[in-house]
Amino acid sequence: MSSNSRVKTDEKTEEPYEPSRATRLFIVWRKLRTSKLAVTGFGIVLLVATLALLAPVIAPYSPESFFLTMRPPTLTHLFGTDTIGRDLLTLVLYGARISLYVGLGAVFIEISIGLTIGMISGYFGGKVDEILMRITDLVLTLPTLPLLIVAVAVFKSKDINTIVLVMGIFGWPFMARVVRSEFLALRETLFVEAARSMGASNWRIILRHILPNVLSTVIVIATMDIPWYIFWEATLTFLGFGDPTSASWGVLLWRGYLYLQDAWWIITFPGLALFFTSLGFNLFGDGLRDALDVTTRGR
Amino acid sequence: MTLRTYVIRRLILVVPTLLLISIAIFSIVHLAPGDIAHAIAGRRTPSREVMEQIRREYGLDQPIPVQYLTWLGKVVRGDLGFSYLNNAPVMSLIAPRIKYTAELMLVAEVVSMVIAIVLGVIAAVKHYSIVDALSSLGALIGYSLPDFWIALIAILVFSVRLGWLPIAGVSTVGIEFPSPFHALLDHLRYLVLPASILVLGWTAYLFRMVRSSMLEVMRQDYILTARAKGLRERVVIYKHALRNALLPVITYEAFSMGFLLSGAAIIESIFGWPGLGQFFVLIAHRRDLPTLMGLTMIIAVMVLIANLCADIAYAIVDPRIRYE
Amino acid sequence: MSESTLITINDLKTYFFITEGVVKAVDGVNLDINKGEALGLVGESGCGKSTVALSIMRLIRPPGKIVGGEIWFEGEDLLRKGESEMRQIRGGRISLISQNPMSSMNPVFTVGGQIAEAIKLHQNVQRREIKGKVAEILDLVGIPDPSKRMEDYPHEYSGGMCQRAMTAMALSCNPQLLIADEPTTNLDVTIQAQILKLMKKLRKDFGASVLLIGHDLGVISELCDKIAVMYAGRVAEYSDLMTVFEKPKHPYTQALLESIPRLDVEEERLRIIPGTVPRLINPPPGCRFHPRCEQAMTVCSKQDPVLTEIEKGHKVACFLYDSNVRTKPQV
Repeated sequence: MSSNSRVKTDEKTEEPYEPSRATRLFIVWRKLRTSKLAVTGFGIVLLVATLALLAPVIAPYSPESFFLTMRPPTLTHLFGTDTIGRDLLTLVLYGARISLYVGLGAVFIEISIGLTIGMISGYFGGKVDEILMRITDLVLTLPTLPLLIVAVAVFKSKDINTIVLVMGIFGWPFMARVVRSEFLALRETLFVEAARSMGASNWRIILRHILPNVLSTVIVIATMDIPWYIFWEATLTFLGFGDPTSASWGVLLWRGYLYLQDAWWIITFPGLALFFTSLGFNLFGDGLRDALDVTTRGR
Repeated sequence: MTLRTYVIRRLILVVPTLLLISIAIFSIVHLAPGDIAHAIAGRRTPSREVMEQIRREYGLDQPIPVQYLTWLGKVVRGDLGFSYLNNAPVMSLIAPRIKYTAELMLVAEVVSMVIAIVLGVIAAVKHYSIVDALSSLGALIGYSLPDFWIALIAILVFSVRLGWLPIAGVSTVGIEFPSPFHALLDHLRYLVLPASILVLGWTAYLFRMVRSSMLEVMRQDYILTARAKGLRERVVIYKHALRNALLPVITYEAFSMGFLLSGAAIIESIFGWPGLGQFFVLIAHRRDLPTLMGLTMIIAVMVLIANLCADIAYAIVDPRIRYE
Repeated sequence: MSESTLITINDLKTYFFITEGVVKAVDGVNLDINKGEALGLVGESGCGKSTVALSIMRLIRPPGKIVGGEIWFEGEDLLRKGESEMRQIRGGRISLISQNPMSSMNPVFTVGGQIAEAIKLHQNVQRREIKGKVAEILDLVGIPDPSKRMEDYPHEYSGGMCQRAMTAMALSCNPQLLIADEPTTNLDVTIQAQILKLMKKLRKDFGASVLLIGHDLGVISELCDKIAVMYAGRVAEYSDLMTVFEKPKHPYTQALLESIPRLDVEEERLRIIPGTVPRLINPPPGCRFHPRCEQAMTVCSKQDPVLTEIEKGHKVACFLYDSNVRTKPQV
């Protein structure tokens, strides 16, 4: 009775499904594609990025041309003109470049430091971990804005790069913490043990085996942090700590603040741009997080 | 480990942390380019006597560690230094402002917590419903709004165009109020706008946290057990689920004191609310270093206390933590 | 339905409505449990056993829904009862023990507190007597030093102790039916034995009926008088323990028993049942087992077999024993 010869084949049998990494990516992609919010978010991000990149090409005027000051929006100046007579639309477009530069730059620093520290802390543990975590926690709880202000004020620099650097330096703790806990968890998994028993060196394990799995989380955090960095930079410049000649949205808002009653458009449009960009990244980041979450938790 | 042991341990940790912070503050300031004495004196060209006084007081001819210790010694005794720019001891400049920041933050904090928890629970319990979808979307928008921008828009609409609410300040000056009650009402008119803006942003983030935490908790096995015992759904949600769901929220809240202070700083500046935040921006602009150092120290202490409270609150609420 | 029947399930159907379609987790289940009896509900993972348990307790939540059938308990159909009436039954007359003891208790409340909660709900006990009762029941399930341990939190209990505590909670209000959903699956083998021994003893002490759900035939056989074998949302075979083990009639039951590795016979390979459990979203027409059945006939792919009694106390759902089918020529 044990012969397997009469296996019914009129129905497709399904093998237990073990998704490879490529399949997982596909599932993520599909989830992303179907989430309306994520798609919208991505669309916005794409739009902003394109506008920023093409700013010199598509801006109606140059940021250095001057027209009549404080004109409300008209057909020739869709967003109106600012306090010293520059076309606002042009400025907003150029401001996008600054914001994106800031966001990406700071996130890059954040990833560099945070990922490294998180990796080392989470994988090697012990004393190193304890010390690093103490420092991380400390920096994590410090108030961001006051510190940024102190740093910028003390170093007397209005250069955008300083701001980016400082923000990245204050932004890494969160990333480090999350990366660390993922490394801690993955360190104990079977596949790591298997790799180790095959003689893989620590670094190889970290880089080739654990890191790819952590990457998805890193990307989600990075995506959700970009709007924060853009926001902090705008806040800093808005409070007057940035470069007053730049086209940063924060600067535009700073100047607009003074003329709130008379020239509503100066704060409206840059602010709208800021909001819109934030929204895009947040929507996309949310969708990204949901899509990645579901795969790790199984269908 | 009992609760008491845990608290004591945590308290002991405070001291070295404070020391570390003070070192950090001291170092940053002294790393600044330029002559320290000049920086301390402020931008005005100081007279020779003032410079001498500064050098003596800060022991600037002494080696750095000694300088640090001198400063630290003073701080511990409550002497945060002297602001040459404002010609007053730092402490006297800071002290009266604390209550304004505290008031603003407390009000905003309480309101946003209440709204966020109520809405968050409803959204989680009625997952996939209209309420859930709308409030989640609303939260996302609120979370993406730059608070200083929306503050400006609010001023534009409510103060400039509609004239309902005042633009800046804490109360109308120069008016005699018939009773304390009237004074309070007047004060509230000034509080509404800044507090509302803060509430907008904070509620958004909190709501998302509460909702996702609640959703996570409602999936747990012990919720099934609670239902299987025959408990009413309301008890299951508010007694069994909520308590667990609020744990990460508590942690986040108290550890985000820094974030809250940042938000308050922006709003205070815009609305002319005479609190610590506004002061901070002010003195940063004028590079009043001694005050800056003192204020930063105060803020750091506040953050530390908040963290401590969070840790203790968490340990009280979640029995698992005491066994770390 | 005789005097001694405690609970009768007729044609229970519980479906889950998800975006990909309708999962027919329980699709026409018939069961009886008599007073004082222990019924084992056996089947592979995903065959719907837990769903049956949750359906009895009316704890099915969206996207699941009980779409048909009756569950007769003490003369009333549970599926027609209001929610507040069900609440009285849950924990009081029918209790549930689930398969993850360590995560089944709320981590922020003491063990004693959670048991007391159950007692307060269903029994008229004075407040000062509650502590005593909790200690009493903890002692009964074998928790050492009960009056002290009841102030502990769940994370301070081991897996086995958690399960004992859960059992205590379930029995604290003297239920007539105890549903145990894979109570030993996540426990060590040695602890498993202890828990089973405990359940046997308690069953005698409390006189409750038991519905023991599991996939481990060994565990089931320790405790149960009768067995119902489930496959893909339906009951395939039902009888008392010895009959099912010695004279299994349904091909699935036979294959299951055959696949148990034997120590006394030398075998090169483990016997398996070819194929896999069907996904219950679009189950194949006819008998759910027919694609994997060696004795499948044409009719098996067209019609659903009905659970019929072929001898006293022995029911099978299979066309092999359907007299109508046998007499007709095979098409």
